[in-house]
Amino acid sequence: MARSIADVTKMASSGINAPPEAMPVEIGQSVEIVTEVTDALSAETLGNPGVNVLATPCLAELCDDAAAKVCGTVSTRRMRIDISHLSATSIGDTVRINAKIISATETLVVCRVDGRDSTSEIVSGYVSRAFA
Amino acid sequence: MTEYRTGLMGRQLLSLSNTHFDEAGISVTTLHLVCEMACHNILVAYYDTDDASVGIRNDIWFWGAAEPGSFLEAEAVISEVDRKRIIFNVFVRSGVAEIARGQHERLLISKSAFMESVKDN
Repeated sequence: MARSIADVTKMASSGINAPPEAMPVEIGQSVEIVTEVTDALSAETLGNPGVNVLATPCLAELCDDAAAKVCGTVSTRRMRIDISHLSATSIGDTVRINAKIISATETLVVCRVDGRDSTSEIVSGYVSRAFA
Repeated sequence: MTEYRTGLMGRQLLSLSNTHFDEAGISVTTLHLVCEMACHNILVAYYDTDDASVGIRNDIWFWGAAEPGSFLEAEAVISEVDRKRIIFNVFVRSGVAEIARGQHERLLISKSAFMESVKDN
């Protein structure tokens, strides 16, 4: 039977001395990341004077970090972040961002993200990452 | 309060240095910030002393790359105005290549009242 280059490459990489293959992502997997909100993450620091709360771009990065982390050792790259910033978080507070895989295809993994600070829900949305 | 209208446009140019990158390329913070600043630049031109705005939604698609030392340019246009909620379409280029686009929403606020409400929480 003829073998494709992909077959041969797969065989070579699964030899006894090859590193273990990365764990596949599974729907339902979730992680939580916990971050203290410092001045470096504030809107004021990023150029919005007088608005000294967690900046939306930094919140987007935290959501993407959580989504990357839930994919574990599987290599993915960022593709889309779709989040609603629901309430303001004071500097010094702690935020907890949860990412849960809700869909995975051959090319794409989609995570539901949500997060809270010490008083309320602060973010809700989706992060999509493409398999690298 | 100023009446914003659809079609108003703003830009933000950012000279990229190593601090704007992480191991995966342009950081999410940098990309979303340049989008937000392009939107902010439209609004800020009409602010009174206590006016400000905060981001309430980001939906940004990203597919490109850039290098330290190059420029990132974001363009924003108001696509919808719903009282104090302003919705923007945003486009990001690195050189001549478009690398990201999406929507951003901002809420117009009173800076003093907003920070007072944050303290109360």
